[in-house]
Amino acid sequence: MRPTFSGFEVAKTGINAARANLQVAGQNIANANTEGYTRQRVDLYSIAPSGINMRYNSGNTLIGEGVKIGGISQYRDIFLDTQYRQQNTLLAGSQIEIDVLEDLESIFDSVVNSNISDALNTILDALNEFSKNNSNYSYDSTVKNAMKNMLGLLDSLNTQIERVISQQTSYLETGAIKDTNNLLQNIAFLSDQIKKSNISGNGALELLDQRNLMLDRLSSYLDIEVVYNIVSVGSGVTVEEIEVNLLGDNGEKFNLISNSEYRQLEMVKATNGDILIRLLNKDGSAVAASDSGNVQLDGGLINHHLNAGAISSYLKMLNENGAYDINHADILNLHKKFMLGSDLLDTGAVAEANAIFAGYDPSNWQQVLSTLKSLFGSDAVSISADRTAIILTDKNGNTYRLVDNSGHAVLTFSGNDDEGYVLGLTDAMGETVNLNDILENGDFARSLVALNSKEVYDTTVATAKGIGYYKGMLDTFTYTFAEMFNSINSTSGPPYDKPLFESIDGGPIAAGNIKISEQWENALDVYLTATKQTGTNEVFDNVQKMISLLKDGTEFDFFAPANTAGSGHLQQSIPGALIHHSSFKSFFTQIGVDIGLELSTINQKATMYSNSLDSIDSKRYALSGVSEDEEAINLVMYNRSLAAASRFMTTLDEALENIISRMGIVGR
Amino acid sequence: MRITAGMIARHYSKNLNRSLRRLNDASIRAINRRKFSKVSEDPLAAIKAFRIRNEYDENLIHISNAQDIQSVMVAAESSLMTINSMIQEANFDDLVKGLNGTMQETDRSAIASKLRKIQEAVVTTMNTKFGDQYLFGGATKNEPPFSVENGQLYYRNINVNTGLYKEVPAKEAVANIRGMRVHFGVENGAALNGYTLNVQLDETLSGSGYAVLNDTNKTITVYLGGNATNAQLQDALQNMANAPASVDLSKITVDNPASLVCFGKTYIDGGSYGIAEGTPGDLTLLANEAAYIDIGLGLKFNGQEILDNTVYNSAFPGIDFIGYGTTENGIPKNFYTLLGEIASRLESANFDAEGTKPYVQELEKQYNEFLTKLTGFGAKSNFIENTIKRLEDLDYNLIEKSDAVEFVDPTTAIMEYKLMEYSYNAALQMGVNLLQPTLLDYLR
Repeated sequence: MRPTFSGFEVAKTGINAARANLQVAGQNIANANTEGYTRQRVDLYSIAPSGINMRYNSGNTLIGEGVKIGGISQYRDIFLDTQYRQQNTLLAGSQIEIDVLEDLESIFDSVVNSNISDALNTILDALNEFSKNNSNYSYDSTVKNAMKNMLGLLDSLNTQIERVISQQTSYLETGAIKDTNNLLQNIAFLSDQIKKSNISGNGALELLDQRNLMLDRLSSYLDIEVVYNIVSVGSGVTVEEIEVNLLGDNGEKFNLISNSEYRQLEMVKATNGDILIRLLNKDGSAVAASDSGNVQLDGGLINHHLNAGAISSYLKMLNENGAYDINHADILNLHKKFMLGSDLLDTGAVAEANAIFAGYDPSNWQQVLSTLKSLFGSDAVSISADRTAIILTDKNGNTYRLVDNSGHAVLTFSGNDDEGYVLGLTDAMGETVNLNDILENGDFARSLVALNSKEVYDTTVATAKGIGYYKGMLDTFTYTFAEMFNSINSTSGPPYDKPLFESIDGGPIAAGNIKISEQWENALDVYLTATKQTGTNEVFDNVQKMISLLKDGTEFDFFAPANTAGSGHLQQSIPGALIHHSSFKSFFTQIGVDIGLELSTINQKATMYSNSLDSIDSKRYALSGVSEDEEAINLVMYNRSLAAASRFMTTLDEALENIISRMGIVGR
Repeated sequence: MRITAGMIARHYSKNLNRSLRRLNDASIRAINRRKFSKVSEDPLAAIKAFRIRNEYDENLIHISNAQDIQSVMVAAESSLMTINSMIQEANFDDLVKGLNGTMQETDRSAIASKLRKIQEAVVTTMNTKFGDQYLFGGATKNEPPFSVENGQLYYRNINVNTGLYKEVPAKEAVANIRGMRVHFGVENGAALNGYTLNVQLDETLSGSGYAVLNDTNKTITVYLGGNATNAQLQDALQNMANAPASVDLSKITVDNPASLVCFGKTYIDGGSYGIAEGTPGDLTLLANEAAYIDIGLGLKFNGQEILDNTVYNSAFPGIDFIGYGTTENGIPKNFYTLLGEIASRLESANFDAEGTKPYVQELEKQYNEFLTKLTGFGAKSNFIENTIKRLEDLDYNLIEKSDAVEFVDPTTAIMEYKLMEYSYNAALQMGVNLLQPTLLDYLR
């Protein structure tokens, strides 16, 4: 038997429920256009009759006891979120690549702006004029000026590429990395708030929306996975905790956020210009290993575990050099060829140095000094005032006499791939020392590092064509162009006796340091060689060789200038990898076409990603977006149910009125 | 699927943007008429376009080369025609009459003086300059090729009859580093010609320094202190180490001894050995000189040697036309000397008709050879003319091809633009009606 007044209780729950629904509808309408807002709903349950378990059923029909508000919840599907974030990672990554490639495309543009090809034409014109007016000095100058114009263009291209590199580096450092770190920190902070609210029974729906927005943004930088764990907080209450993981290439995972705990990224520039990304714990210490997949990290370095997203694309464009990346085996071979030669010490630098020690002639000291400086490092070698003694100073400040009045030093080289290589020195005083660890610069130090330190070169080098590739192409063009023209104009092999070009700094010729040779600059008469034929007919054919070089039909192999492998001696003795095959005329248009093809492929990919992101987003909106029509219906509906519940209460009141006021008044 | 107003608005704005972008692309195309402005818009067409452009550029150079040669040849041909008419003027009939001894001395001397004039005119004509080039200088066109000394004709310092050089003084080699002149002396000019002079700063030295000659690399390297003067450079050069014994170091001088040295590298050029009088020269070699020009015949090398049928030879050595050397009987072959010989014989009081005859015969023979050469020259001009025609046809074809690959027809471009404009306007109009009233608007 129900108590008399229980009906009022039922009516009250009905009124409450209707009011809650009206308010939620209001909240939904108010946030219809708020970014990231998720449609909310009131969870209602009907309350079962309380007597349902009584052993002795009174036989009366039991009636439920009204409606209960279970809480406010959201219309949201975490699977859609996962899909959205995956797609967003891919899209953001391709957009970075598009950005960089569009910059490069405009630098190497040959469609509207044909600077380089115009410059080559001007040279060709000048050479032809020279051939028509041979042995005329003013036409020699015309050729020189045409060449200067070309060199100026090469230099400006080089500057522009370097600007792209520094821009992208700063975008990565001050944009992507900083934003990622902020996001990581804020998500962790929010998660802490959400957990605390949850414990106290507050759904914190608006905070959840904010966190989801941030996770979406984080997914544009890194390939992440979001996991929700249910944890008990005692007395039967459970709450959700969030975990965000960075996904590596081979299934390895690195935890980024564990509810309120978070990690940070750090960008470091390596000495070779590569950008390194480190994963750090909150206290600044490097993360030692992956959290699943058993991968050890060297100083928190995660470059090779970033496989998608904006940061990974930045790294790809900034660090990878396509065919210019030589893998370890190649470098090893190059160095062996250089230091050992096929017949060991005969032709290598060790033998060269020993020969210099043994046959030192003080009148020749300048040349000797410069050779030794390039081998041992420029700070390490010095010469006495009377030019009779040459002294080697190691990085600890100890000195060894390479040559003096009493005798000379001897270098020894031994070892193999497995046990390592050792460069030993017995100096003029008879003191013996192992040079491996005490030389800092120079070809010997570099070669020893390359030969002995495997971890630097062991990783397989990816060969995406980043900015470095195109910079390398520019240098390769410049180097090959200079080399070809120098050799045609000279009658001797390198070093050329009549070079047209040389480098500003004495290093190998590249786009940023090429200039007209001083000899040509200072020449008082025609400097271009007329012919190299001797005897027979007098002909002026050499300029025709230059002309034929610049024709579209004349194609060459272009090699990397090998500056990836070292400097000084090394560069001259080792040709780099084969990079390209084309004519000078087509070289730049082909770079343009390369970039264009790559760009159009990535553009198509990006369109695909963007379309599928749109369709996922539409699905998300379909579920979570607010529809004004629906909310209007809800308003009408819950307004009615509020009225109905209220009417129920007055009805009850009227019924009770009868019972209380009218019953049992007979005979009064 | 559930549709919300927010979704509709998002889709609409995205599509409107897309439509605007297409409109923009179409407008750019209508303005610059290019099918693509970036390689990435149409890589394959770009590759084609670049090929055509290269071909076009090269062809333009060939045309300009061929036209230049043509104008040179027109000038040369007119000079040769002048010579032709002059020789004709010498009038073989008159000469034959003279030989028959039927003429008086006064008549003979009149003919002789006519021949003398023609003789001079031949030299002047063969030294004709076109622009800044001497037409008949063979491969060296910056100096007049012919000169006359003591009645002897010289072609580039070689006697055209005897093939022997006249005396040519040695030239000194001079080096220049930013205006600082180093003279190596007339005696050393040839020996040090082609060396590289490298004046280097060595901070360890105070002022004066030293110089080293390297014979294999052909370099002279001078090391000097920072405040060295030209006099100290001269001193260093005069005490140079490793110089060959034949070089007289004391002849090396530097201008402006008191000024500070300019550091740098330079190529030493301009020096040559003197040639003693009577040194045998090679006229046949000079008559066959070549100066090659690329007029689109394929320009190829066989190893180091140029294939001469792939280029055009633009050298016209004068002696090839007017003759050189002598016959077995010692009779000169060139017009100048022949005319001179005949003239002096006609002038002589006791005129020897029989002795003059071989000269007249030789003149006639050389004239016939000259005519053959002239015809050959005409054929060469014809060839150039045809080549120019062919190249110009190619030029026209390439322009057409390039137009087809790179450019759009304006009608199509503008039509396309109008179409895009129409669809953008339609999209805009739709947008106004897109956001329909909701149920909320109807609630009382």
